Amino acid sequence: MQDHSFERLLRGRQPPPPAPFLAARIASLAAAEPPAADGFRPFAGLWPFTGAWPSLAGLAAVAVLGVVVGSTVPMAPATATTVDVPAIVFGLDAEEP
Amino acid sequence: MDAVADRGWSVAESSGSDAAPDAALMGRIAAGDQGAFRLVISRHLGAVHALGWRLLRNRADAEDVAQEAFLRLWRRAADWQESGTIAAFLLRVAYNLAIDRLRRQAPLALDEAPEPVDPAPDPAEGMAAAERERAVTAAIFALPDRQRDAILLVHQQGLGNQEAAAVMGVSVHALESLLGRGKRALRASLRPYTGEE
Repeated sequence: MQDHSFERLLRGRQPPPPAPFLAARIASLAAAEPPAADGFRPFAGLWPFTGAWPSLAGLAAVAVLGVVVGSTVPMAPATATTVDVPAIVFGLDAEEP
Repeated sequence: MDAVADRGWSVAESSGSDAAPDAALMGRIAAGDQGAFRLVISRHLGAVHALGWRLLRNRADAEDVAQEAFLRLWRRAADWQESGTIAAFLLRVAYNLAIDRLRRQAPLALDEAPEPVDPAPDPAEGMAAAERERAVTAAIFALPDRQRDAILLVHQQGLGNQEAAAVMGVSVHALESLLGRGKRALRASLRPYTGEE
């Protein structure tokens, strides 16, 4: 069989047309939800890890935030508790001569 | 009439290259313009529904897939990128939705393949055409998934190789390879209907 008639055989029959109400139903469903509802992301450009590559603006914003927080939040005072390792491990009393 | 137009839908017809270009339409849709969205529906619904039907062989499922594809276009209009066409976006979304459904369904059996809508006037010829149609559908659906999809998109939906490759997310070279293997397998399984030795 020639290629042409084989391809005509493969083509098969015409699919049925969509139901007449389908277009109106899609339009009314869309009207019920505004297009911006799904697309509005106020910090989309700043969040660095949403795209294939981290956004430079996002990384810079995170770095600046880290510096600001690091310089303004006071560090906690060092604890006075010390651990006597020889006493714990070997049962030795560090005070004993 | 050429082969593509004979299929009732052509890529050029669906590419949005006439009156309002895709980017302008999507800009209006992103602004909530219902009229622009209805125009997109009227341009592309036939093709998107046809693709769903060809993969799912069920009118209700094809309508669900088409509806969801258009609603995703509506929701994502604000993120539209000018590099693609509306037709390509819709067909790709519909294709992915249909494939997801297809994976959840049982394989199509020969007896379940639907009857043709428009049988020939001669009853004997009509029955022969129906039998041939069922055999072709069953043979296509017996192919490995990617070969089946390539055949459906190019030979039934009428897409060009580049467009079909974009819909399937493969290279043109890979699509051509799938088409070649699929057609070889179909020639073998449809030999009784092609008269080939």
